[in-house]
Amino acid sequence: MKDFNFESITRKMPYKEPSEEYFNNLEHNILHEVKELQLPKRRSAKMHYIFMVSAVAASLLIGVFILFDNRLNTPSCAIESLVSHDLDESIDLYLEHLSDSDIQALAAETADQDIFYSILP
Amino acid sequence: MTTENEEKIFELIANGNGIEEGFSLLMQLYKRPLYWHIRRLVVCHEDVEDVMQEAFINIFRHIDKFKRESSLKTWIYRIATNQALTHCAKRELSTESYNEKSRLVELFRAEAEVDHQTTEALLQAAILSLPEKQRVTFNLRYYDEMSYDEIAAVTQSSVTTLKTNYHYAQSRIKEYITKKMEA
Repeated sequence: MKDFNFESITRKMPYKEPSEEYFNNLEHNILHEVKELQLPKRRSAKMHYIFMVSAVAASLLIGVFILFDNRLNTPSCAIESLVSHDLDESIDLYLEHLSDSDIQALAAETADQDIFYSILP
Repeated sequence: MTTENEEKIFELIANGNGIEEGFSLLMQLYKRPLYWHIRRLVVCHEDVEDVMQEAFINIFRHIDKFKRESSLKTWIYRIATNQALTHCAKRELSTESYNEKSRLVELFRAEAEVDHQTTEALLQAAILSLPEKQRVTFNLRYYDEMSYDEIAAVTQSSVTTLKTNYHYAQSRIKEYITKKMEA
């Protein structure tokens, strides 16, 4: 019986060796496929970026709107305007019931003469 | 253990803009060894190209999730081996037990461009008669010169099982070739 020894044979495959060009084409084709796979990822990344920028811009606009809206309607402003309006009315009412001499006496004590301008005799 | 080239591939891939360059380097390193590894499993040259494309695309899809628990080489070989075996199963080329008249042997005889009685041709026919696990183990050990630990990482088997598989494969191959040489 002839003894078979693994070391006696080469590891060369019994097939025709593909050319360098074959391997280059194979690499080129696979890289092309890979780039095609990358495109949707890139598009998705771009869309994600656009979405994020839009969201930030929208948030900023909403923030600015809320800020101005609050400033216009802050309770302190509202109370200030109401108090000022009521005060004007009560002063008018008070002045209506004063005699001319009282008004003149009051005006003499007041630094701001203009408020009595319309009612001074 | 990772080589310098593997480190460079990881660096390029970790940098978002270098993924294509990293993958190109990976292909330059592994296209030939993987071609021959897949060829030894699926035999037909045209099929190798399809399996290579699918394997490399799978590698590309998952490389950013590779945790580096094994070497890049064994991880790549695992993907390529699974792809090749899936291909064989689809084409009903897989063998679970020793079969001298398997379809893989028939395919080999049609594809090989050498005298079928040369020792190299007899060795291939003998390997292709082996059950799938023995065939994969023998190829990785004999042709790709991997250690048992590396083969274990590729096949997800224990080293003991692999040593047994390799031992049986060697015995069957010797028996096959000796018988053919005597005939």
